[in-house]
Amino acid sequence: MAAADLRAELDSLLLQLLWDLEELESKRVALNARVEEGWLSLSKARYAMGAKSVGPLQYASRMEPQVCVCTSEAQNGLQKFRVVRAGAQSPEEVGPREAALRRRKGLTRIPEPEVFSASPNPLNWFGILVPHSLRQAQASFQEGLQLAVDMASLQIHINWGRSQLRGLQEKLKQLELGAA
Amino acid sequence: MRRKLCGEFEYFRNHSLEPLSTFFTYMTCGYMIDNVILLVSGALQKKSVRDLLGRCHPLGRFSEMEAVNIADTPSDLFHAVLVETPLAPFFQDCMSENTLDELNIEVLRNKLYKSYLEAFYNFCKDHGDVTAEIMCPILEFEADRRAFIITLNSFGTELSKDAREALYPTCGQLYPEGLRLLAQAEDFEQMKRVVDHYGVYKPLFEAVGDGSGGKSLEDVFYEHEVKMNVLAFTRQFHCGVFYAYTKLREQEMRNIVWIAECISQRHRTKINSYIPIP
Repeated sequence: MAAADLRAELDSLLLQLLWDLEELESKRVALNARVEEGWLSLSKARYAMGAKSVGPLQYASRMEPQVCVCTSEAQNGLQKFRVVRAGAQSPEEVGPREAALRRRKGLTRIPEPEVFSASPNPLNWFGILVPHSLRQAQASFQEGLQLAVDMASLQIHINWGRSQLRGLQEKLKQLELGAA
Repeated sequence: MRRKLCGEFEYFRNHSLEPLSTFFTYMTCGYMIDNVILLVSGALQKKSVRDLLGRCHPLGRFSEMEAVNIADTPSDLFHAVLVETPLAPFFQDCMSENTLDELNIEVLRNKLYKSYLEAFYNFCKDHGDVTAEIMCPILEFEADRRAFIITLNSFGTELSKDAREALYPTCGQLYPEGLRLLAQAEDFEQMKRVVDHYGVYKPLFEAVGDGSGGKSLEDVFYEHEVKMNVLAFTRQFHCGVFYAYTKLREQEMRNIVWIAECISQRHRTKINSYIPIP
C-alpha cells in the first residue's frame, strides 16, 4: 500500500533527522571545548612568554588564509563543505574554481585570483622557539575549524531532511484524505 | 602596574652610586634586548613605529629606539643604531650579513641574551662579596633555564643542533658537559636523562606534570626562581635585593594577568595555578 510505504519512509527519514541532530549537538559541544582550550592555551603562552609577546603586535593587519572552505555538490544535490589547504590544486576540477574565504560568520564567495605558494606557518609570527602551549592552541583551533565545517554540512543536510519530512507528511495527508 | 614598577626602579637608580648604577644598567639591558627584537619583528610585519614604541618595555627604553626599524641586517643594526648604547658589547657574536627574517631574529635575540648574561655574571663575580654569593647562583640558574627552554622549544623546528648549541649561555652549572649532552637531545625523555646527573634540576623535572592537567616546565622554573629571589632578602648590604625585588614584582604582575584572563574566560578552577610569593 502506498500509505504504508510512505509511513515507512517517513519513519526512516525522522530517525535519520534525529540522528543528525544528535551528531550536530555533539559536534557543537566539541567545538566549544576546542575553542575554550585554544584560548586557555593562548593565556598560558602569554604567561610563559610575556603578555606583549602574544598579541596583535605579532601579526600583520592583512593576512593570507592557510586554508579555504570549498563547496561541492553531493550525490543528492546538496551542498557539502570541506576544508582545503590554500593553493592545493584539485585534479578533478576543471575551469574556474569556486573557492570561498572563510570568515567568522557565514561564508562569502570570492573568485581566487592566483595560486598561493606554500604558506608560512602562522606560529612563526611569534618566533621560532615558541612554547608548547602555543602549539597546543594552534592544534585546538585547527580541530575546531574542521568541526565548524562539518557542522555547516550537517546543518544543510538537516534543513533538507526537514523539508523532505514536511513534503512527505503533506503527501500522506493527501493520500488519507483521498482514501477517506 | 608596569609604570609603577618603572617609577620605583628609576627612583632606586637615581639614588644609586657605583657599582650599583652599573648593576642597574645591566638589569635594563635584558629589557632593551626585548625591545630591539620587538621593533625589528614589528618592522617585518609592517607595523607603525609609533604603535611599537608604545608597547616597548619602559625599563628598556633608550634614545636610539626609533631608528631600529631601518636596519636590514644585524651589522647594519649595530653600526647604524646600537653602537652607542649599552648593548654594543653584546654584538660580538651576532654580526652577520643575513637578512633579519623570523629565524634569524630569534637567533639574534638568543645570542644577544647569551652575551648579556655572561657579561652580567662576570660583573657580579668580579664584584665579589655577598652580591656574588647571591647573584651568581641566580644567574647560573637563569643560564641553565634558558638552555632547557631553548632545547624544549626547538624540537620539531628548523633550528639545527649546532645552531642550538651556539645559543646556550655558558655561565651555568650545565657548562660544558651538560650543554653538549643537551644539544644532542631530541625529545623530552632524553632531556630528562641529561638532568639526572644534576641534583639541583632533577627534582624540578620530576615535578613536571603530564598533559594539560599538571605543571609545565616553565611553571616549575618560575617557582624555583621565586624561591631563590625570596632567599636574596635574607642577606644584607648587597645589590642582589634590587634584582630580586624587580623579578618578584614581575612575577606578581604575571599572576595578576593570569587571574584576570581566567576570570574573563570563566575558568575559575584554574585561577589557583599561579605561583604564590610568600
